[in-house]
Amino acid sequence: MQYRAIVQAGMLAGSTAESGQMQLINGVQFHRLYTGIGTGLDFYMYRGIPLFADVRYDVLKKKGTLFAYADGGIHFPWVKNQPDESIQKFYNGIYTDAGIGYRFHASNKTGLFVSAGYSYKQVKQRVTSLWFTPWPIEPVQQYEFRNYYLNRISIKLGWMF
Amino acid sequence: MKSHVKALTLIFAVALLFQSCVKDRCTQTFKVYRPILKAKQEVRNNIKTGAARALKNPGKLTLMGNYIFLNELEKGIHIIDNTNPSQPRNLYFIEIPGNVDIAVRGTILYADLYDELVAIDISNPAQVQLKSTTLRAFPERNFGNGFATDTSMFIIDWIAKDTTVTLNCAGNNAIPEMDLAIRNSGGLSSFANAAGAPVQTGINGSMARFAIVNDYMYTVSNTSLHVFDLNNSDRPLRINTVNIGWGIETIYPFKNNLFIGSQTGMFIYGLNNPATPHAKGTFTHAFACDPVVADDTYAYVTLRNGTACRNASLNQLDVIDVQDLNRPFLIKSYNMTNPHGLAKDGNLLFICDGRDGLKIMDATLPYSMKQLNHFTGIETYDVIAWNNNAIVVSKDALVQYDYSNPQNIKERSRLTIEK
Repeated sequence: MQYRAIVQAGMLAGSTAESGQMQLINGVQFHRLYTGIGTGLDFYMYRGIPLFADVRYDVLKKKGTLFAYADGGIHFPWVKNQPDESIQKFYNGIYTDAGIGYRFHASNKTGLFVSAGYSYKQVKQRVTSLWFTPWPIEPVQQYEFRNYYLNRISIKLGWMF
Repeated sequence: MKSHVKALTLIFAVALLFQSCVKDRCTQTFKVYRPILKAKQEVRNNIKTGAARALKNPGKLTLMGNYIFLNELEKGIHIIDNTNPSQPRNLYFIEIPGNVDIAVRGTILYADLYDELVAIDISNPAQVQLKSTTLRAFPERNFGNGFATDTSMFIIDWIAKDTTVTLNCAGNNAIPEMDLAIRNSGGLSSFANAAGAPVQTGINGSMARFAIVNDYMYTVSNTSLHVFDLNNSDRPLRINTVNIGWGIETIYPFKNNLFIGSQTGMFIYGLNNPATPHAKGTFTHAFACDPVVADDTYAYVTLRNGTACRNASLNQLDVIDVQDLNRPFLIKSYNMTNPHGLAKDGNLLFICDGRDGLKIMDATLPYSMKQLNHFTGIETYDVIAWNNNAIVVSKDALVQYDYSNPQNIKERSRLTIEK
């Protein structure tokens, strides 16, 4: 069993936008299985911080090998530039990413890799609007909820060490 | 090397294959309100005494003798027998859609029914009678919640329905239009005036927009002061409109003057000629919501912030010297939490401080007032203080306090508001 870290960055392409991502994962390698905890930044539509568990498995025992990976966790919104924080609230949502990759062998402990997969995040937003009542009674607050179910292709270039 | 190329080809093929398959989905869930309409004549015909209803969303109130007339926001008026303030009895309900304001003079209750003014005979609360309707008395209120009806219908209620629609994710901040279109304890006859005697007038809370002085009723809209002649009390006649400014909210009569609260200041109008109020003095303050009460020497103004108050940052009580009505000036401000209505009786000043409850101040020395009591745990809106009994409209109940001993003010009753 060996401690290993992964830094990776790449792009997210969906039907609404193309955007970037970067992640740092820390975990342990046990034979061909790697498990870790990761976090990073996801800039697709609404910026957020995913916190996830990462599992990846080397298909071959070779030094350069195909691998499969799967991530699952929570997406914490970190939205900026909202006109009025008091009337908009964002909630945490699900975050997942799964795909395949290929790792080039650089040395015994390090390796450059590329990966492609499917990534999903959910952002939930509450918007407060006012139900105007005759003056001078205070307007009644009404809420509406917006759910963003965001499906993306995730392509990453990373370094495992 | 060959295996590297194969692997990379596989990976990017996967990405390309699936790129066209992924699609974002964005939804919006909100309530759509559909108005329930009723023919205007049918609504007017239905203005009569009905069975008591639970208090749900009370607004302004008027005290007339042993009765409290309490507005149920945009629904009508509760008639509460307050002969024994320790045991008030919710007796009847008068259905008046769109009603917000009320005033009582003698045996006639005046109320707004959207843009109309109705005069109702309340001499027998068990059998009230609509006496007259003044059409277009309040032109600014010819709609409900932004929804204008046709000329023959009133909105009597709303049906709310949760609705989910799909949004265009690319225009993620676009809010679809809220489609509103889719979206007997005796009578009061004792208040009838003997020939030549002045007619008794109900006591309104400080949040009122109706005020009666002698034979005239004064009402305020967002910009104007309207004058109604009540000489023929059954049939009020609008005789004058005075443009005041902007953001007008409340009106408080004291002796021969009107103190008008607005978002920008307090206006004092004299009633030497009651049909034509004339401007006396003005006290200007920063943007805030602003009810006012006054006595011979001082006016007390609460300033608060809130969604309807341009989100001003002020929350305070201003004491204004009004000995010279033409030149009112501030003598002291007291910090408050979110003050709404207020009332003064003798040297006691009652302040509804919103979520911070009810505060009672000793106003013997207005420039150095001391807090006598503070009732917390209720969110207060408006208050009437009369005859050692303070009637407070709060979010949870209509609460009454005995202040016969200012050093030992006690809650005596509460009519609970149904949630």
